[in-house]
Amino acid sequence: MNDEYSDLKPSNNLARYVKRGQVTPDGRPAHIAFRPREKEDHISTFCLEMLQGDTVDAQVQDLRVTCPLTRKPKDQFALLNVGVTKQAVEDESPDRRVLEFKHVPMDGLESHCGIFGVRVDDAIIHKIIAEETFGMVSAT
Amino acid sequence: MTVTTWHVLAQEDRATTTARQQPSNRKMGNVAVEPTASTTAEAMSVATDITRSLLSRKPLKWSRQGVQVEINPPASNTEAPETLDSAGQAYWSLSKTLATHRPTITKKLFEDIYQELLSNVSDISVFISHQVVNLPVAYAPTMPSYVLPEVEALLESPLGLPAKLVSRLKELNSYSWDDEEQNSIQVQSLLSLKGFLDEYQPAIVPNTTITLGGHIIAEWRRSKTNLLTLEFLSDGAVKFIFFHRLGQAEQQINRVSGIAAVHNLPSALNWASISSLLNE
Repeated sequence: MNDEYSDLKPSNNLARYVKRGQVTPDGRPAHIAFRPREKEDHISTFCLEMLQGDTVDAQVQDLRVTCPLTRKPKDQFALLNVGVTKQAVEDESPDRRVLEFKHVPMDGLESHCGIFGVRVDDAIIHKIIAEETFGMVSAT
Repeated sequence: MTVTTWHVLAQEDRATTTARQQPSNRKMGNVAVEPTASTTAEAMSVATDITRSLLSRKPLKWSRQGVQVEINPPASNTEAPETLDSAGQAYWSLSKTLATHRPTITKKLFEDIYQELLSNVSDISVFISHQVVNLPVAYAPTMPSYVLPEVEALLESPLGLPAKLVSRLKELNSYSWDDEEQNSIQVQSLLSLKGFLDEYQPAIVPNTTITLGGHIIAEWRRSKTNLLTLEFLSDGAVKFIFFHRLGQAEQQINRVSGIAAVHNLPSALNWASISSLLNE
């Protein structure tokens, strides 16, 4: 099923929407922020390089404008690098899991992407991904 | 019709409340639901009766429109508000605060009812909490709590948790007020966290977050390879994630996850490493 989507490059960077209740007081995402929803086969993200702007700040600002999710103050976007995260999960997960990072465009949301190969009960992988976050920025 | 919630916190085995749909129980987190009064004065009268029952620690039997409500207040350990008047005033103040600060939920549940409550109370209802809570006596709050849902009442009670943690939990719980997707903290999850803290007495206050379902997640983290994350579920079990080094070897990191009862965590995990995380 994933074959219908194109792979992202290792150099791509992703933003994952994280609700305020899943951000620790010291500004890190909880592992559950990277737990796919029950009916989803991937972790939904946005590719910064597919947004407007030449810098991360500008791309995040474009995401704030175009993201259709209802957001509250203190909600965040967690930033991940595709190559680093993929390598960390392969190196550190007990089953040396190889994740797939795909471009999954949606109507009116060209930057939408997915991380495939993670299940709802893969707590260790959720945690490894959360630990690879290289930045947290306001979602509002 | 105006409906407002009325939660009475009472000690297990010492307080029982019976009403429609809840013929008998040994639980806390009461009750009540029944349109009763038709005027503000009558609603105040009902509130006063219940308050009086709590203050005097005498049972109250109450029958309106064919529904019997019986309240047996906590027999001991209950510190009464100073005066009946102040208790009544506190009740009304809290009712309005609840309606004001939880607009999403209250609108959804009691759309027109709460709007009316903000301006003109015409009825009062007490209703059954469907969240059954089996509360150990040791955790029972020492004061009755009017109107507040159980978890908020618990967080206001002397639970013996660090002030910093209680403050954080209140913040996490408040996120449910204006977010339909976010549940408030599950009472059993809070009690399970308390049970863990009581049993293992960690010196370090954990970082906490919350699942959409209302489960508390507590984390002790020294680095990305040395951490313990516990998700306290509603059934008393705990989902854990534990990363730690095996011996002195730089590359040997053990990463485990699973589920266990709180008291089984030491046998499920490397407890020496965990004790270090919790206390240093």
